[in-house]
Amino acid sequence: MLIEFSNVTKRYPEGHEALRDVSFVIEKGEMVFLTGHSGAGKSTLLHLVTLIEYATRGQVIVNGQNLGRLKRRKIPYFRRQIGMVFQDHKLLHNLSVFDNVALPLVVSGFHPRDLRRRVHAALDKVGLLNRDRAKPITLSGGEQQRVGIARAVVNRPSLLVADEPTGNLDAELSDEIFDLFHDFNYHGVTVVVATHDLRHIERLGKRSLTLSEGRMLKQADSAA
Amino acid sequence: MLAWFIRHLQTMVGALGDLSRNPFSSTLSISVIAIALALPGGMFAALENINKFTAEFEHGANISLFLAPEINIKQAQQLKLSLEEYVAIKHIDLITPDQAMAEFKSRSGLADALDSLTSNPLPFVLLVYPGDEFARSPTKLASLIDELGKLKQVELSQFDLEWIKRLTALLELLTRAIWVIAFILGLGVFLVIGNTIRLAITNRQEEIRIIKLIGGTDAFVRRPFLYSGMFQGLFGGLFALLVIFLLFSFISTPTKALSSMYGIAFSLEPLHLLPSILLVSSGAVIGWLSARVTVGVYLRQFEPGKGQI
Repeated sequence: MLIEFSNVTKRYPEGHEALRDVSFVIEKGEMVFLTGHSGAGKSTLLHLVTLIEYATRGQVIVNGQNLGRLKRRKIPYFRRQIGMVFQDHKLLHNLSVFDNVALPLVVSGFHPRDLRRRVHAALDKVGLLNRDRAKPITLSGGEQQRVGIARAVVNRPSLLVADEPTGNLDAELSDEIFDLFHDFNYHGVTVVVATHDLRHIERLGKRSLTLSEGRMLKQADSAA
Repeated sequence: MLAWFIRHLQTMVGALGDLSRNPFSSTLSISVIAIALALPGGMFAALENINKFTAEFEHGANISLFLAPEINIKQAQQLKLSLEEYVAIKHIDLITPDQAMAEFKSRSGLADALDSLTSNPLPFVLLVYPGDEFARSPTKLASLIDELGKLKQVELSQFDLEWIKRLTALLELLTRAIWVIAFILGLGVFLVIGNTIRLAITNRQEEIRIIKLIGGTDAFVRRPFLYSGMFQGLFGGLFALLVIFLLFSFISTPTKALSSMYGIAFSLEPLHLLPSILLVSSGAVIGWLSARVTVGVYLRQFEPGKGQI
């Protein structure tokens, strides 16, 4: 398995309990939807997976690593195994599309010789190869999100995590985005997507985990 | 290895680019650093020159023995020969009253008044050059002066360079004072650079957050700021050198004129190569350290559970 939560509780310092006694398993190569209302704990759950936050109680294991015991200086190397996609894209607006996508490679000390090829491959995958010189601000919302996805996969991570990736997009654009995730999953990447858009779950027929007020409400095998 | 080198080079160029993109604030902070470094640097250079000046005096340090007026040339020469046997004495110059008078006339500008004297009132003088061992030790020198003063042929034994000794002691004190000033101003440079780095971090908070999210190490985040701090200190140091050199060339001509009036061949020398390198590199090191500490403090916000990423 790739992700394992065992009786995980997350309480923030100000006292809010975002997750309560959550347990689940996501297998390697799976594609899983994380659903629930706003404030149900979807983002918190993803923050625990990506080690933006530590669990208050319980155990989180990702890629065989117990995150509670991961040394601080190892965190960057752990994050390099994960591609992250954010609702607000989190692109750097002073850099070109190419440089934004290249950033994870630059950060991990990738050899400059192979960098261009890898970045172009990632941009080609999301259909933005011809926009590599553009500044992100000149792109549409859907295009910016696809740049964000190219950046998430350029490192060829084993796990792709997306938090409301289509929150600001219309139906047609969000279909495109989810089709991309589906395609990455088809090529072996484990994908975890938090969304409140139940339409995609039905359309793609994947497993979903539903959170409500910090508790795991149900774990359903596809809508079918 | 090559990739590593290229990355550092890129970061270095990037840090220089950041400095040049904000020419006003960069120039301002570099100027402040330059002034803070030029002050102790210039003081050290001035001190070096004073040391060189006094060393020239000390080199010719001698004891003047004014002989009693009844001593004639033969007795004076005899005394000179017998004193030269002493190990404490390197050699002795005998100045006759005629020589002394001639020198006095040429130097004092009182030639006419002196010409009117019917007899030469000046005594024989022995200029005693002590051996190196005695010249260097104030206590041995003092006992030698004392000893020579007790000779019955000698009316007065005088060491002209008492003030040099006092000056040397004063310079020692000054040197320490300058070190203290240098330390305080160095701390100032540290804080100035720390502040510009802090501003740069605030401006690039979003970038740091994203770099941390996609697996950038602290070292990666730190690197451009370290180069930026180092360059600010480096340029500040170079600028300080320039200021010191300009200052010295500004006062060098009048100094030369003044010292030649006193019959001393003395010319101002600005900082030598080694202290110059020391000044510039200490600027760079302070800048680097300041950036290291400042970024270190801010990076703690970006650890898990701190709510910054």
